[in-house]
Amino acid sequence: MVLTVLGSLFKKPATIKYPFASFSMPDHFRGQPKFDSSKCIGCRLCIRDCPSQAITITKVGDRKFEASIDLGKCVYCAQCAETCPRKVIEISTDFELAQTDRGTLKITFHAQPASGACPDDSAEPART
Amino acid sequence: MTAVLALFQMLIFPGFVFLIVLGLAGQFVDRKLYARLQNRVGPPWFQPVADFFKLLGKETVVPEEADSRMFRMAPVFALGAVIASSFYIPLWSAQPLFSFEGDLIVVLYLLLIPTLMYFLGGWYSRSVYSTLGAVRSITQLFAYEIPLLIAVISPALLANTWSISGMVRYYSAHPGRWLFNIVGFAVAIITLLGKLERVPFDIPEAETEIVAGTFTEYSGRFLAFFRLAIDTEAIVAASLVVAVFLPFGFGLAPWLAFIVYLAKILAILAVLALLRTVFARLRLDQMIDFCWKVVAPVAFLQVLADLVLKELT
Repeated sequence: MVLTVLGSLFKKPATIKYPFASFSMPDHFRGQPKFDSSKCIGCRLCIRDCPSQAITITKVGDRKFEASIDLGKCVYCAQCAETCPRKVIEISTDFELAQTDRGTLKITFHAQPASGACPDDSAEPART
Repeated sequence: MTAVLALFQMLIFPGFVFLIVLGLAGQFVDRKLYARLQNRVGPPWFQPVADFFKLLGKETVVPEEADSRMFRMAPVFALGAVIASSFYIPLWSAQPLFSFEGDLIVVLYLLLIPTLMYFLGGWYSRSVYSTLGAVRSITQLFAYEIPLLIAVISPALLANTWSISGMVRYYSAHPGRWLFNIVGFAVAIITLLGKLERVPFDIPEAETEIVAGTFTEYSGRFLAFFRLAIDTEAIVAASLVVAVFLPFGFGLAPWLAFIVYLAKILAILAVLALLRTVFARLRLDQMIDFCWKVVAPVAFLQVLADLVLKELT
């Protein structure tokens, strides 16, 4: 063991100097949920299955639905994504979600007027 | 030696200020090596200084139950004893600040005082964890002190003098004879681990078991000075071991001898850091068993070897 330990002296340390060095999470990492309003059918199964009642769906027009997720209540279990019949909710690998004001943790995914597939850019918590 | 020069040498260089700077540097070297051996990054070079000033700025809480005077005096006495013992150790010149026949024993006694102060500070803190740590500290003293004394005395037997500077002069006059004391050097390194309360002999400050042992109730400037005393004790004890067992390089030009001295201290600290990385903590009874059943007999063998060699030479 002494030889292994002494060998460590000559290798680079295993420490990643976060936040000065960036790195990416593995593929199936459960980070922030993202909602694509163009595909939502308003079944509200996600609300039923959410263990902390973090997501709410509001109808804003004919077959148009908006989602609002409270990132403070969300436990990042990805049950909503698994339950959704149309695979509307996608779990990203984003984890740097900390905010100083709890109110800014509630994010809303607005319905697109045209057939845009990407969610609203404002549906991201502000990077502090 | 004029009084001003003596004062300068005692307080600045190579006395108080120099030893404290070296102690903090030694703490950095130890922590950095310990981290790199574990594939970690380790602290920046100014971390021990930053820790010291941070502790000075923190609130000092003296427990109500504690004996206020002993609680406050213990760190000061520990640091004072360590600095005083360094005056008799030849660091890089064969002539230390002060020397007299018998200063080897005086240095060993003075280096006993920090451990006593850890005990008294913990005892007079009147807290369960402190008392446990203090008692373990004193019990450990009985285990490592005898082999250390025997090992350190054996080169003195061969050199036929009780003064450290006298030993350095003898070994400088007979080059190569210090190799006879290699076994004693190994014993001294092992017991040095006990004296400095380093793993595997760090039971008195077993963080995972008794919070901080002796230093549980200490905070603020008293803790700062206790930690400074520990760091300086490491340097002074290492200097003693180096002067007694590796007495070469003293006759060189002053700056070269200084570099040799720093290299020797660095080597001792590196060995201590490696042992700290590789070993787990020993239980108190395991440690006492080991010291009395293995280390002390080996130290006695070294004394025997030196006595025989003295007759032969």
